Amino acid sequence: MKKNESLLPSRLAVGHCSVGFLVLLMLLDFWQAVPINPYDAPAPVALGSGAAPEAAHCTNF
Amino acid sequence: MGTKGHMIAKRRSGLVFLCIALVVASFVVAGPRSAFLMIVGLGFGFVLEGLRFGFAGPWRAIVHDRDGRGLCAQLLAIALSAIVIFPLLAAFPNELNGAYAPIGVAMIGAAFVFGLCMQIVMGCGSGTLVNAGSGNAVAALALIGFVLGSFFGTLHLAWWTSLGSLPIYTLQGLFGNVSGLVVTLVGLLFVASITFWRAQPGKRLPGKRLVLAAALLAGLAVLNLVIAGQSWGVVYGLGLWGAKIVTVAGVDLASNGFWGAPAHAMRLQQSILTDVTSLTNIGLILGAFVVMRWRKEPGQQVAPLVPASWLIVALAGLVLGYSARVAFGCNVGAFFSGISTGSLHGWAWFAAAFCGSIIGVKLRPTLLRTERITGGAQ
Repeated sequence: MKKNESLLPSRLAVGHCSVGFLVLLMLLDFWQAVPINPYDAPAPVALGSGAAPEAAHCTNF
Repeated sequence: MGTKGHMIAKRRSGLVFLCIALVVASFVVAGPRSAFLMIVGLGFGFVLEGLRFGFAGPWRAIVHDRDGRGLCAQLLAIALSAIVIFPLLAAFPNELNGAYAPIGVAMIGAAFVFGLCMQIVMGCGSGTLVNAGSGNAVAALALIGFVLGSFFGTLHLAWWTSLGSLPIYTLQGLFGNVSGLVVTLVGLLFVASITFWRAQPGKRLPGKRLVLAAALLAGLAVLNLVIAGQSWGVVYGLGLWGAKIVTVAGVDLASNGFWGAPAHAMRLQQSILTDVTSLTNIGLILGAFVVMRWRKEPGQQVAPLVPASWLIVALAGLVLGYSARVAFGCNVGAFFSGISTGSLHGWAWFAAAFCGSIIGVKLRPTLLRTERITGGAQ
């Protein structure tokens, strides 16, 4: 067995941890955020919706 | 089909089911736009991990190995996106937003630091997510730092920006819609020419795999804009995740200048399943995970580092997130989306980050040492 395989978790294990992080984040979000109102959902596609974009981006400040 | 083949087929069926379930769940819980963005995010993950298309690696390759194929593929992807996006932005200015931000002292400095750190952790904004999803231990640690760093960056963004910024300039605004696109394409061609000149013969032009990846990435970036109304981004979502974590821990961000602003306060209050960048980030990580699990073998883990190097990775991840926030984006939000939507700050970001990347490439062997060869570099 190679040394790095014995010292570090496998790619499989780390990949599952990353997915676990996302699941944890979504559970935390479910608890923290206001419930989603399905009747207030935006148009399926912004283009042609007539609505100004409301989403946030890394260029926002 | 042998037992092993049967197992692989079963696993792959499960992965297809997981993707479909994820999209359906997004549709049911948050509506069709969220479901479409989840598909786009998964697509980004499939392309970046499946076709091994990256940002940090090719920047290292042109500096260290004089291999320009990856960088040329990046430039191609941006050019293809710009050709579609410029006319769309011109035709639908009230419905679509470009990735526009001001050039500033702190923005340039932060882009330099980002470029340096992305060579330390060997992953940029999208790269860290993809690598974490595909099981890379260095990236998984860096991702935690990235999330926290992006959040801390929001706390000080106003101060950094106040150090001196120009107004927001776009190439459309400076030259007009058509000429702005021409200037963008000429600029990309100019960088590609320098790359071509710098690269060794045989390592100048991307092969079929990278060209396909560039075309798919451009298509997904256009879809992201059309569906979300804004360009592809990564950092805002990660900062939002950090803000949500500290909010749950009991910190009140209402009085903070950034998170107290109505638009950001609303994002903090609402579910991440309604946040554009969070959705594509989630899709990206899961898409990379699916590709890793799809393969017959997940591949070998990175070489183990000495403890001090793990600490450096964690710190570099933190600085990566912080600097990306202050620089108004990472390689995705600033470089890819900034340039492909005509923002001048995208070009300034690229120049500064590339200079930082050159330093990072040189520092990496000193900072990251493997356990097996304590005197050598990884």
